[in-house]
Amino acid sequence: MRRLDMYVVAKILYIILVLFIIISPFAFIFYRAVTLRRPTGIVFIGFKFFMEIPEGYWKALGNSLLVGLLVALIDFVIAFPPAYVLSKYEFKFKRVITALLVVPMFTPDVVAGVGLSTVYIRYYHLYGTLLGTVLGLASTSYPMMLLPLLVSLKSLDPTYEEAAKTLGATPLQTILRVVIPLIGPGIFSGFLLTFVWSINNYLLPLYITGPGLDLLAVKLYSDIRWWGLLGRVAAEASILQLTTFGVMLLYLKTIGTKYLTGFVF
Amino acid sequence: MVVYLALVPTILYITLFWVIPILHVFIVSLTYRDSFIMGAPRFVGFTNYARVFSEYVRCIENSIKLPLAAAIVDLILGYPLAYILARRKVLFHNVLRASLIFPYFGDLYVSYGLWNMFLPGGIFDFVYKLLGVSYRQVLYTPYAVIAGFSIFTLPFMVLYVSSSLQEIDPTIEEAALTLGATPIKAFFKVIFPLTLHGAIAGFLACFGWNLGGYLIPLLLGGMRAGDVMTVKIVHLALHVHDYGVAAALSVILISMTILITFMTFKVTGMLR
Repeated sequence: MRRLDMYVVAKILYIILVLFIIISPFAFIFYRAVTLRRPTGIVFIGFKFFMEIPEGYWKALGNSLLVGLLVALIDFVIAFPPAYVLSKYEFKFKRVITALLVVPMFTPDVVAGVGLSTVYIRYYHLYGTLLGTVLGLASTSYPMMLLPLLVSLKSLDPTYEEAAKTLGATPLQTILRVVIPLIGPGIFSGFLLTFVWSINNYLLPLYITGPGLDLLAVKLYSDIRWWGLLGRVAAEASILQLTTFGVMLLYLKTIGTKYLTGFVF
Repeated sequence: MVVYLALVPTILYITLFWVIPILHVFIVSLTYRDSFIMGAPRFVGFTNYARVFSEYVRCIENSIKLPLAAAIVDLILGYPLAYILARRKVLFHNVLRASLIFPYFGDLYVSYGLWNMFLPGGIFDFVYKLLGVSYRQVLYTPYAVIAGFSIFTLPFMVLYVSSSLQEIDPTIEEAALTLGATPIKAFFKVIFPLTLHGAIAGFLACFGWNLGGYLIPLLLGGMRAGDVMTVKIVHLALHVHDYGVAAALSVILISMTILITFMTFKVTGMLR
């Protein structure tokens, strides 16, 4: 009995340690944003630093949310057809094709940035445009849409589709009216994952967005590099963090972790 | 047949925005400085690679060593966590599962938060005082980078190990225990060999993700310890405008990443 108690205590301590390790960097930024360090000690100053954030930052928040939404939309358009085909039909090299489709997710952003910026400037003439930013961000994030879609399409009962077809629906109607509503949670997971990923990406926009379009993460990155110790920057980081947390919390509350198989769980 | 037609836009998109840019990284690596994007490309053969292997060997070394160390830390830290999460309900079970998603938000917060914590005035002040060291003996060293890397990729390790743990029938462990094995012996003789492929896949995934990490080595490692390939590529491409050498380094980085990704797929059985 004594040994068992020791084991339980060790386990709880271990869990608390891991929780502390994971959460502390995030929590400490909030702490920095609402406190000021004086020689006499640390004082709580409320939301004063949040007031100091320049106006351009809020504009960038709007841009970032727009880019995030567009990237998620484009990701869905790109990822739905292969996800549907891979889950419904049997053919040779299916697993290899799935693997090849997932590879772009693992591309380091610095490399994708060098490649995209050179082709954008030389051939596509998309450098510094909203369209170029969105298409570029989608190129490394669509696997995050593909995997939840695959999970949800595989667990979809094929009888629904057959019923729709027997009742006279065309294939397009079946997909739009039956399949997409039924895999709603899977689509929502992919949507949120790609959205969160793209509003937090600073490295790829640094290469391809240029000065014409301000994005929150890029602004934050350059502020961290030049003014990293200011409380204002901690406040800026907290805002992006709060947006992200809000979205993820909403997600975990409404859908749970089922469709994250293959990512985080 | 119509089904395959539906795939055309996707294939077109991936070709235009992933395959062609990545192939262009190789073409750019053969040109002189920024001549590829400014005016006519001037091809100089493999001299950029010669420069990489004469001047930037140290950052390639760092790029391999630091993520490797972080992957080992992740294995030690993440394996027990995955075991706890996969086996039974524990205190804070859902909080723990949900918090595993944190690092997925990006390395921006992990690096910035850790940087603030390690600086004077952070929460490690009392540790520095206790050990009588200056913050510089912790912050701009490889250890700080390894700490950042391992926090960033801990979820991937937990994911791979717990998915391989879930495949095991729990009765196997019970059988070992009933047949007289101690819990420790049962773990090392039965559970660990069965989850070895998950641990290897997690190890490779952590290594691969950290290869692409940029802000963590930059903020936590400074100029010396954080001298890795990603930092060098951004510096060369965006600040020095030496796209040729940056692309040569990128080719090395992307070939390493793709190799590791396929090794991960091979281990997890995605290529069978």
